[in-house]
Amino acid sequence: MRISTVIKALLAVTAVTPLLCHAESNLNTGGGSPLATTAHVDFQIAIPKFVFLRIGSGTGSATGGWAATATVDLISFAPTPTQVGTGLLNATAASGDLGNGVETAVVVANGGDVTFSSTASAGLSDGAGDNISWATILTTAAHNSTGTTLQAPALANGATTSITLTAVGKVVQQDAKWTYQYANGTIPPAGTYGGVNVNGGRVTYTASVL
Amino acid sequence: MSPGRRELDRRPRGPDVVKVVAAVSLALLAADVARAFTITLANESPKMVYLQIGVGTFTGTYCGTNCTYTPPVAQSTGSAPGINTTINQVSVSVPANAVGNGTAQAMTTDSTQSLSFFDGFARCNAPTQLYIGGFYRTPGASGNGTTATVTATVPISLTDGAGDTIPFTQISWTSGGNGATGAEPFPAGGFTGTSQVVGSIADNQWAESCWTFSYSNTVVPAAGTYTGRVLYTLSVP
Repeated sequence: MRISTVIKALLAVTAVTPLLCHAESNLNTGGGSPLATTAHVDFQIAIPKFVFLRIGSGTGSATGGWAATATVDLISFAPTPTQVGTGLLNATAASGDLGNGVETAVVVANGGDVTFSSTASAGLSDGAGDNISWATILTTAAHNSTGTTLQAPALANGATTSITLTAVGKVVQQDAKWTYQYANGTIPPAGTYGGVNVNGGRVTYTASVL
Repeated sequence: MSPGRRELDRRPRGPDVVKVVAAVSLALLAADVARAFTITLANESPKMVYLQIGVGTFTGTYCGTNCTYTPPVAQSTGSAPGINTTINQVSVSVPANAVGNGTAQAMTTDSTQSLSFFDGFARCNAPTQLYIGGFYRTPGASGNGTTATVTATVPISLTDGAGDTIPFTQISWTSGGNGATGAEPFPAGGFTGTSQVVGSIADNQWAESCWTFSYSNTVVPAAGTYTGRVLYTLSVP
């Protein structure tokens, strides 16, 4: 008997609650043909503005998986005495995330055209007053996975060089494999030029959207 | 008339009631298993169709406080379906690091409707699920061969007002609900075009499901807030 009382009380609650609700319902009656009634649903998808840039070691590709990674790669050239000043030189085997001076490069953004730039120091220094110009560090872009291959802004002493990545439908989705090479056309004084964030050895790449 | 499949589609009156009943008799509960919910209604005049998506308006419940779930179920005295013009929304905000990565994103609704107006049973789980249900009732006996269908009229794309679009085909849904084990009257699917049937209700029948929407997220769209409205029409010939 006590249980029956509880059940009735609960049923009274469930029966009354719907009266407090508000939203879309419709009915129609009569002998018309066809007899119809309607309701609607609104759909909304919010897409945030973002820009993803990866040069070398990183997390994510042109299709996703994007996350911040703090690793900065080192591209190193080590000509033998007989190679110094004799022309184009490849990087060492350990250079770049893909080896031999090859870096993965990716830009994905969804806010229109992307301004893509490189900012270099006044030159690679050996700390003893000698310099190698950034103009001798060449970057060649090769196809990776996207239809448009991501080109590299040139490196220039003490300057920021920018290129525009043209968006398609306000979206830029480009990648490439960049190969760094040293022009090696002159004979510099002996020394170690640049390095891991020393002696002007670091280039900063920036991708930005308005 | 011998009971058909929908006559067997019964359910407990609600979660709290289930607990009380379970304490008294597990055997009774086992005999009252819920399935995808459809139930035969008693024929009644006038011919009527009622469709509710999201939160709706209904005076009382169709089956009433003393619902026996014995089909055909007559409309309880004093109960009445109502009209409400507020439209619910199904939405998702995609995290920046997941845009276009192919991982489907769950959508939620601003609907607070979990209870069925048939009997007050907590059928859906708002805001994860969106209630869809209604009835088609005729003056004649059931089995007259007419079936009401729900047709979705869908725009080609959601738009952000700046010329950017996301195809509606990026949105799909599963169908279920508390206690649901059988085929749903409004089954799982996805938007496939500008007009498609998304469910049906037999003559003299109440039918309901709970939809859970998701965004397939396989493209990288321009930044923006994309919106679009789908029209659902319940009609009988």
